[in-house]
Amino acid sequence: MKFTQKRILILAIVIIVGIILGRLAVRAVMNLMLGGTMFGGNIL
Amino acid sequence: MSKMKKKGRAMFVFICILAFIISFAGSAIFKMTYVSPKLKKYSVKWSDETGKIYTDLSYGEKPANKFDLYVPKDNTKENYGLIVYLHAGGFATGDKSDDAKMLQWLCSLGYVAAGINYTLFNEENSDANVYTQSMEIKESMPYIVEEAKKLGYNIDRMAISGGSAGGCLALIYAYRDADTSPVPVKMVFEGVGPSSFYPEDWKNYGFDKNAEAAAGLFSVMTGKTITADLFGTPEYDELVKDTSPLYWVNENTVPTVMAYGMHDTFQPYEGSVRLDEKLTKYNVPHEYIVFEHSGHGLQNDNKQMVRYSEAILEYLEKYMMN
Repeated sequence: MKFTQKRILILAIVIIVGIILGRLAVRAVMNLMLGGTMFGGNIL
Repeated sequence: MSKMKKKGRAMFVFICILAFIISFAGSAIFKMTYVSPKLKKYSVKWSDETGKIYTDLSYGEKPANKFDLYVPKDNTKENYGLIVYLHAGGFATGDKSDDAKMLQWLCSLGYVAAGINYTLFNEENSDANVYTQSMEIKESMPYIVEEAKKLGYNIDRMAISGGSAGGCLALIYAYRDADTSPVPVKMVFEGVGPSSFYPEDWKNYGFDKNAEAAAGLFSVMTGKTITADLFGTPEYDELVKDTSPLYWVNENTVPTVMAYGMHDTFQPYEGSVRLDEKLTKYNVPHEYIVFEHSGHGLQNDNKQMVRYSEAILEYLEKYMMN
């Protein structure tokens, strides 16, 4: 894999992880206040 | 490593950190603000074409004795159904204006909708409790029906509903006070309202292990003097009966739609299981919708929220249509 392609892949992974963690963080905070599970039901 | 390469790597790391922060924050904001298209069907864009809203109409002498009335634009029908929606807030906070969107939607279906304030439990009103609040709701009903009539909407049937504390008060009115209602109560729908006070159900508050704490909170909530030794006795049942919808269920109980989160930390899910069992025992038509991944906000199960909303519409069609 070329150097630039490698960096683009890393960036894409970082963005995807950011998106997932963002949703999970909101769900975690809501669950802390109201109760609920981290997974299942709505997607993340 | 050459200076150029080091700079390039540092820049890339910086871009990655920035990208992470933006995607994290963007995703979080999106999750907080996004409404599923499946749920948009259960709301309305309010305008003068939908109806009119009258706010802060009085039903009693206390400052909190106010209600809002949402009336549909079409005022040509002979009779209208009234749907009351009672606000949440742990019996200590909240306002009828919190439910404006719900009341607008109910009105858009062709009903007269009403939100009612009741005296909240706080430092100023330390005597307020679930019982006094239920009596204020009961008191308000003739005023609401009368005001609707003055505006040209003759009410001949009603449904009552609410969320959390409002759900509890709605169940109390529908189950305990239907016989004295100025118009027939046809059904009740509510979400996450406590329906009974068994300490073993209130595990989230540790009441299954601490009877004294249970007695303390239940005394404040019911306005009765409850001591730990009373739990499980007929005397206790009598003391909490007026604030426990569960105790009023019988073969004449009105059709019910209810939604509860399995992981509720505010009020016991187990109480809803008892209510479902009793409604089933007495063959009361009801829909018991369990949100398996949600807590008090019913926040993690959009599919179930659609089911709850559809059940409300189905029951309104069946029991509230003229």
